[in-house]
Amino acid sequence: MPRDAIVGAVILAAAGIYWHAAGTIRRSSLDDSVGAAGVPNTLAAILAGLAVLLILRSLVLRSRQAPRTVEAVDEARPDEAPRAHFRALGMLVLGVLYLLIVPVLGYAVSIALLLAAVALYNHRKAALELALFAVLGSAGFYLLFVKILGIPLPAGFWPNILPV
Amino acid sequence: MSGFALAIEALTTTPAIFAAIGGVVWGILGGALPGISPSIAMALLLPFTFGMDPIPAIVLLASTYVGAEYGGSIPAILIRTPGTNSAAATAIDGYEMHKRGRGGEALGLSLVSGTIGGLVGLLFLVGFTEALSEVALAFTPPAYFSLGILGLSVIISLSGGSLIKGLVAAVIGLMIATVGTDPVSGVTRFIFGYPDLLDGVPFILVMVGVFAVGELFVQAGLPEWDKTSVRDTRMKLPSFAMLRRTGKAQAIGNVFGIFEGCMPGAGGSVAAFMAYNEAKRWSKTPEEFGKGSPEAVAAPEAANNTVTATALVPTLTFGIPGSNSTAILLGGFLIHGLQPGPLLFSRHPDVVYGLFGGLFVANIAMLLIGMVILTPAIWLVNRPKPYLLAVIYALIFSGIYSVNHSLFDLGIVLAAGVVGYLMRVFGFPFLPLVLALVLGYLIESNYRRSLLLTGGDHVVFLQDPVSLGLLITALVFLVGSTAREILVARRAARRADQKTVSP
Repeated sequence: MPRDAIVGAVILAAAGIYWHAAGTIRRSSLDDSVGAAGVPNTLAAILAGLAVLLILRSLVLRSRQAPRTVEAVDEARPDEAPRAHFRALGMLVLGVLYLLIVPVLGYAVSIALLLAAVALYNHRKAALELALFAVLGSAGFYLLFVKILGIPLPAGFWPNILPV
Repeated sequence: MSGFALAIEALTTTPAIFAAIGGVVWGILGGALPGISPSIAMALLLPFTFGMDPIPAIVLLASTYVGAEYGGSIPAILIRTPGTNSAAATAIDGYEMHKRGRGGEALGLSLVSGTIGGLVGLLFLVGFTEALSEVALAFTPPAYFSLGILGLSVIISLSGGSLIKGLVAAVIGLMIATVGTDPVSGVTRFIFGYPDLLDGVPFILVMVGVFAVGELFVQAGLPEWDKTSVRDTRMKLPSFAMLRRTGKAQAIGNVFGIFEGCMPGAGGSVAAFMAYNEAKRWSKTPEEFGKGSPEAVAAPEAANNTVTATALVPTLTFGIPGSNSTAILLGGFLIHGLQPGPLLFSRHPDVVYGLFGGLFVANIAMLLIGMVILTPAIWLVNRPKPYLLAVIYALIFSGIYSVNHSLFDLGIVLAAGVVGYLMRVFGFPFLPLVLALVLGYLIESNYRRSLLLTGGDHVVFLQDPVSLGLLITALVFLVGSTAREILVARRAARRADQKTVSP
């Protein structure tokens, strides 16, 4: 099945979910003729229609190409494409991990870990240079955001165990 | 007080000059990094402008745009890797000049052409924006609704790729804009029990996520970019004779920059390539193009820097951003409670003329800073990519947290980053999504306000002449775009037929 057809199917499902969620919007005595759910319902219908068009378009384009070309040349390199997606997924995971640890370990430590983890993940060797980068980077970010800009970034458990 | 006096007052009573210089420096360094577009460089700064006064905040963002358009030419010329999309045209001949030992000359030409382009664009911006905004004063709620629809239609039609995908992106943006509180009844919508969503999804989070985080995810899967040596490259400003030789190309770049900049969705890349093609057509030595022609560097650089000012015309006049970068700038306005459009000139003339003054300072500063920043810019490009990605990721998280002091916001940014990545993978343009998110409230509130005035009768959108005209124009853009897409698909199918191997 063509890629755009799959994407279209996913979008159609998303439109359905949005439509269902719009159905839970409560009515109000202050509503106008459209209502709070009016625009969401309209958008859901439009998105569903566009998704169907996308599916049809991709199927039509595919049916035109398939019998005519001897060899379908795929410009994307299948070996690398899944690898690139996994690389991106790994960056997402690192971001999520940062979100989970920062309330516990505090900003300074978490940023140092994030800097080190992202650099390691992107093939930087674990060495003194990387450790220095993480520590100095964390110090720089702490100085800029906490001390200079005065942003109350999470302190973690450190205030409980360190003297103020 | 006259506009000139307002500009001088803004420059002398606020830190706008420092903001202009800082923005240019940040923009050049950001633009020099492959993968960091002007819009991403601006998006990274957006959270920091939250606590600033409006004038320096807007000047900072706009100056970043100015600097980044020049900064993108540095790696384009030195390592044939454009730092920004609009420097792709510069890379063609700029790199050839570098190969022939004239890299410093190419960089100097890029700098001077860009500065002149930026100043020409600024002249156009100052001369025409306020006049155009007078027209927009006649707008009623139906006209504002239709203007929002037109803005989306133009962006969808011109931002490239499939029309259906552009429409999908826009509708998704409008859907995100419905999260929060209904503008008429105050009923909550799609907050799923999260009080952080009561005020809706802040567009700044989506902008930073889609542009910057999405790009980080992409960069993680790409190889390291090439490095270059500082020793072999010294900036060399063009001589008077060279300026005369490239004068026509410069003028062509300015014209295309003015035209394309005012067209929503066109942007610096389109202007740069069109200027390149036309400069070749009108050149006395077209055979040199592609082999290191100075005109081939001057024209696109003049064009893309002219756009930094003229792209502000639809943004300031109608509140419709014409490109990713002006969408970020619009975000900067909205953060400070300023609604770009005709009323901005009457309610906040200090901000408008402060921006104009700041852009003037930014262009002059770019010329001066550009002469000395080459070495640090090359040093930065030569840093190991893993370290750069790590710093940018940390900068995003730290900057976004500074907006609302909320970890929930970081979650939204990551989710938007996933959306941005998927849109890149599946070929969906993200300007329609961002623009729809920014315009969503304006579109829905004016739509419903119009219907309130007429008791629910939709004929009001056709009875108002301005609204009708705007809707017809929107339809023309969409129909035209559909027809173009069908023609392109038919031509591609015919070419595929001709390439079929006979058994």
